[in-house]
Amino acid sequence: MPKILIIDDDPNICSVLSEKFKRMDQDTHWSLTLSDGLNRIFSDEFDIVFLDINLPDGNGLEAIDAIKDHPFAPEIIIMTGEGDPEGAEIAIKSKVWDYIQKSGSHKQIELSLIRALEYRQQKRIIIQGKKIKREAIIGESRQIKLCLRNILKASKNEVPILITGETGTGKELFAKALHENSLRHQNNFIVVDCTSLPEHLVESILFGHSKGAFTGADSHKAGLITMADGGTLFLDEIGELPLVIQKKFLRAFQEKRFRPVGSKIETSSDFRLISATHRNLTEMVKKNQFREDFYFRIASIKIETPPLRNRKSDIPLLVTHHMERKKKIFDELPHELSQEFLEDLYGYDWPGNVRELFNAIDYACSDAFQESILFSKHLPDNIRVFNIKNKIENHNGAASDYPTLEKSAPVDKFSFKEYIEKMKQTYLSDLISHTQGDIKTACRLSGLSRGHLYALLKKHNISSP
Amino acid sequence: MNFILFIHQDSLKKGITLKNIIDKNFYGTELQTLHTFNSFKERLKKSMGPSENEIFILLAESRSRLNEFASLIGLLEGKRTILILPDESKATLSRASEFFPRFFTPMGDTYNDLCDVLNKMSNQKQI
Repeated sequence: MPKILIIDDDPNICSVLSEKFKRMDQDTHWSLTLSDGLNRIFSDEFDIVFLDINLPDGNGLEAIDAIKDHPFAPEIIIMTGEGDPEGAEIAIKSKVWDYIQKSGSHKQIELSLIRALEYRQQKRIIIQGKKIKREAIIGESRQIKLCLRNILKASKNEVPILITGETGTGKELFAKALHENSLRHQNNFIVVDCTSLPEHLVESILFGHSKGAFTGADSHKAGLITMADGGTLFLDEIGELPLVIQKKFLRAFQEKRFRPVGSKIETSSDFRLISATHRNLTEMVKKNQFREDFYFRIASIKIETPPLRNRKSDIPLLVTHHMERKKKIFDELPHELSQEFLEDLYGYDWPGNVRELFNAIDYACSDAFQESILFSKHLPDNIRVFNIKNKIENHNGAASDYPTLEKSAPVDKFSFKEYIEKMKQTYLSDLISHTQGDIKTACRLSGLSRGHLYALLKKHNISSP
Repeated sequence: MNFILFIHQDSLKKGITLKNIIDKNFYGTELQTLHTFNSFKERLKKSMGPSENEIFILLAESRSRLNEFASLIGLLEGKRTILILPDESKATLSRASEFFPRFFTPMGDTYNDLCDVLNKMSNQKQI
């Protein structure tokens, strides 16, 4: 049975609509505040959310983006007391399902709900029918599910994809998953590591060369673009591709035709392009280190792989997966994990991400040798030092009671409202940094509900885990 | 920088050219050559952990050898791997892509490109 949530501060409206929807056989719930509503959305799976704009603890329109971040984001129907064309525009641009006035007829509300439910049903059938092949992508966190959903969506079209993310987040695994779930999965998936190719070789390796094209070219050789014909070409660390090659590649990509080095005859290749980088390509474009036209062509859809510090709930799964894999290959004695070992894994911020986690596990297993339980002492020193320093700092910090303002407020620069917003942003930023993105701890420390915290982070542009 | 080169004992003849070229072009670089699957597994076990200074070069002289390597893919994850392939057929390339190799080239190549790639990789930090 579809689940509906009504978020409105007027209990009468909630009650009337709830009764109406229940008569339509819908599982209906309601919340009187935005924070409670968001909390319910993120701890459950709703199909439709009726969202009021003016709520006692926030503006419904500002919560739309946060709701859309849910891996199974519900359809949103905005309800408003008074017609506001600007609000309607914001809502529609945010891809809400509908924007209706409370003063409208019940028939109109009912019709909007029925259509949204029909769409939802259709969407559910499509998603259920297409289970994603994810191979080595391990994790069940919200961040990973969101990323996989984006991969599934992107795999059904031919648009070029740019995968961004920090080193060690497994960008290549997501690229492979994209290929495996695409219509091209029976053809080649060709990996090009742009960091390893010397500048003078990139052209001939990508485009191939004819016999005698240059000294040493004693035979015709097909390039990687040709090998990717019918399949996918994955340009890993595309930020390292020389500018001159970007120009030639752009033409080959757009026209699906190119000329191998030294050849007079054009050849064709129909490939899908997936690129990845850990660098900020827009910054590189500004500095003329990356071609703007090339950037816009390769980045039609961007998918960001989440850093491990923002999905620490996946750590036990990742550790188990890696240890099982090692056990199978090396026929090693299994190691158990002590609670303090796991706590130290959670405490660290993992700048090297999953790759660093696996390295740390390898190190710990090797250090433990025949001892069957892994303790913190088996971890690499840098992780232990980080955690111990963190504990000391937290302990010292706890003694300092409430914050004191060192300077007087710049009343000539900010209005009261602007100043308070600035303070909120600073607090949230410090909170996320202090808890290293652990939302559960952040909620505990701040006293905010999970939903409210997500909405505030979104509002203040602070990247949430 | 360490190069770890795998040439199966049954293919020493086919791999000798490759080994000699690497030896000649990278004089002074530590080159460890392994000839059995078990010794390679043991070597991989030792290299668990950060391996910025290691490059694994695997000679797969046949499709079955490549399939044999495939059981170690999980352990080669994150390692800098170069594959020397028996051919460039669709099936071979499909299998090779599972290794996410930094570079691959067919067996019997002049290995000039390989040396240039190794040279560049030797002088960079892993991303």
